[in-house]
Amino acid sequence: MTPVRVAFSKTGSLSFISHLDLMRTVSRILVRADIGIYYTEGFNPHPKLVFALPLSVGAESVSELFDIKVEGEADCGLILSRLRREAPPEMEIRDVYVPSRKFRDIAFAEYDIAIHHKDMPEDGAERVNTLTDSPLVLTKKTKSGEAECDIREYIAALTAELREGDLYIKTRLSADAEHYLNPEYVVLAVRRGLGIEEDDIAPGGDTYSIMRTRILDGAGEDFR
Amino acid sequence: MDSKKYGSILRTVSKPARYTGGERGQVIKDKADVLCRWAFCFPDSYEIGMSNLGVRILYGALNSEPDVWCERVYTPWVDMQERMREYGIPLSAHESGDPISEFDIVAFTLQYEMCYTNVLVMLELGGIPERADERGEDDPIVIGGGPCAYNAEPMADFFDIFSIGEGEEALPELARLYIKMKADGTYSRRAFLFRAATELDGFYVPSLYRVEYGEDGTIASFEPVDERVPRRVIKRVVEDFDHAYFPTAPVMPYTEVVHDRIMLEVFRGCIRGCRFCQAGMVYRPVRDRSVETLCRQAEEMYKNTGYDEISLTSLAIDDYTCVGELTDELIKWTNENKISLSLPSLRADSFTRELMAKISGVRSSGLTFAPEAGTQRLRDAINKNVREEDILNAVHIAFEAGKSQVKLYFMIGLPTETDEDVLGIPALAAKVIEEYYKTEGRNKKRPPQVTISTACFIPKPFTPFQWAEQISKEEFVRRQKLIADNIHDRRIKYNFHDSEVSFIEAVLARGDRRLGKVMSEMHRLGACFDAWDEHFSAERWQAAFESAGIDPDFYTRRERAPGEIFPWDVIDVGVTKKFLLSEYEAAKASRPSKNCREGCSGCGALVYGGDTLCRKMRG
Ligand code: SF4
Repeated sequence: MTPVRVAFSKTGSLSFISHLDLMRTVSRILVRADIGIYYTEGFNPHPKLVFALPLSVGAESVSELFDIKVEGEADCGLILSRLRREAPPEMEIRDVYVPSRKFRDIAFAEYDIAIHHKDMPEDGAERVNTLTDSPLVLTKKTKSGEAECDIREYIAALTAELREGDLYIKTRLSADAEHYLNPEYVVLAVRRGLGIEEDDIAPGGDTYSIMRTRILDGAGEDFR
Repeated sequence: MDSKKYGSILRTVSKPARYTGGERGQVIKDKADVLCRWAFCFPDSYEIGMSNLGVRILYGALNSEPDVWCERVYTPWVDMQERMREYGIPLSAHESGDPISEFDIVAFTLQYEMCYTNVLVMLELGGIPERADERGEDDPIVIGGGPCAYNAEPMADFFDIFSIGEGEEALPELARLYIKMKADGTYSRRAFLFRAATELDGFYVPSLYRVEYGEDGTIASFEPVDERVPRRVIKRVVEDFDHAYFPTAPVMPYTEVVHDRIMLEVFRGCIRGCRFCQAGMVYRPVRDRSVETLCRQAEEMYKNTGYDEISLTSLAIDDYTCVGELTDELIKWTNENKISLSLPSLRADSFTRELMAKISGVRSSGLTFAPEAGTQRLRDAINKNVREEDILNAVHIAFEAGKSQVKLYFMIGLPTETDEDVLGIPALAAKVIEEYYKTEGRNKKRPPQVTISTACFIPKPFTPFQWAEQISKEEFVRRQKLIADNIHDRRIKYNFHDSEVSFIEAVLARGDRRLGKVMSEMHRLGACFDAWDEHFSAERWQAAFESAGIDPDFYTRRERAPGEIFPWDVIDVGVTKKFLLSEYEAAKASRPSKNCREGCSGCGALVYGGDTLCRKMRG
């Protein structure tokens, strides 16, 4: 039995499926790909499948990972081509390899966030760049309910620029098991900071998008 | 729905994956190559619609035509409907995202009466005029089909045309006629509908018939407006069922849907002829698929889907003569691939240890049987030829195999039912519990559990009970209470259907065109998702009946005279009214009939050709 890691992207309409839906979709891809997948034991056997990080509904990613196990040796080239054959259009299988590290070594994730608002302030970018100078207290979901929390301790980097009236943010957020920050909180904090709450959700109205671009280890290197 | 353009809206609704499309297996075509665009609407939620086998078949059959593009449409959930109205977003098709008003043909499958209000909501959201007579040359042709089309008269005002019977051959023919008339410049709505009704088999155009009513409210005459229009529309049947089109690469939903598994259609029709069952009559003649075809389809579907369950669908699966051979063949590869087999429609009288062994891989810990009635007398009257010994024998086998839960389905309010019959229901459940303790080798770790479910009997067109009265809502409630009061064992659970809902279903099932007003009124009052308990409102229906000046009891609380003209007499399903009437008489005498395998009763379905079971039996 060999552990195998799969890197993939999840974009477009696929970004709106829930984590459970993704599990189900990937399980079926694994079955169709016929790659000698290892099943869990028990009454209701299913492919053993672990995802690296959660991703909120509506967010896209070009840097997703899941781990599986296959019986015997792993032919990563074959697995890659089989998974590509079976994946839906908006799931791109980017890489398949035998991992040397565990998901618990993940420390950060990076995101590109774009925010559009009809009343975007002209100094929006400067204000976002100094946003972390003062406390950013939000109500955050935790394992034991909800708590007030200063999300600055989760933000490793946050920079913004304004292009054609839209705000483009690059941010690095902590993503280890104990301190995972959902990027939606950054969107919330920025909108609050700039006083641009979403009030027109119609097409062409106020909107935002989130793209996870990288997953990093504690040294700030790409996690593989 | 474009996930970028509508991103903000999708974030505010429940289960946005219902709307985004992009599933594997969806058909995308180049509009430049397409001459006829179909929007195939399922008037219920995505989760229900995606589970429907009939829709999968028609989607595939239409898309097999290179110049036809069929796309899927579902009823948006109420939260999404609100957004669509607020922001003026038109109802659009999954694949292209184009508004349904731009399509050539908008088709609705009518699977149950309680989805009718959704049809009107979808027309409104799609910007299509509600009534057929308000539509202009640029509006799509609105067509209905599915089981309710056998009598969709309450919806006749809103449909241009109905497809009667099986659609996999008929709908592509209709598309071809449309393309031909567009190409040679003879197309107009009127001309197209007229030619469909007069030149193709199985198409009913309600506007081509005039209905007059007598003083007592019954139909006095139901006549074509033109002598070229057929007096009766003959339902379509796929004669060569073994070789008929069957989709083996279905669209794969991302989100969980109701039936997320491989569905094999083993046969159509039913040899039994239970007297309350419409499906058993309208899907005649009985046709089956060969083991070879079914095994090939199952394997192809497994490769294309990765599903871990194969369900053998059909009305009474163990009536399939080759069920043993089929399950033997399937089990050769399903077990090692961890696929479970399920047979959702088991008959207690043909349930065997061998069959049990093959489905023991099924994950659920229970089995379901449908005795339908509590006493042998009533089971004879409804022609449900299952004996108490059969049921006890079947549960015995299930208990032996380690199962501890049994579900028993019944109907209450069946014609000729007495309190004795009603009391037979809890009594049978108690005997099942006793049987559990008599079974050697039962699973001693779990206590037994018997769940009784009772549906309210609804008289349906094209059944021997189409003449029968439905009992009152109060009487349903009394009989439900009688059952509940006579359960003295905590291991027996009791569920029952809401009689208010069944009453409305009964009105619509045997309704006529005058109910169109009620449907319009329901739409005006905001009705939608009436099939969902939380959205059904008996008060709203009452208000709609009142403002339309319709007495619903006319449709339910009335024994019809043998000679009454029914709104659905215009449809010819093969099975004759004469046969149905003789069956009704037999019911009143509590006399069962033989099933088709024991001998042909001459129901009328023999008019259809092809390699049907009826023909095989006649030699
Ligand atoms: S024609 Fe005879 S065999 Fe065929 S369905 Fe009718 S009764 Fe059964």
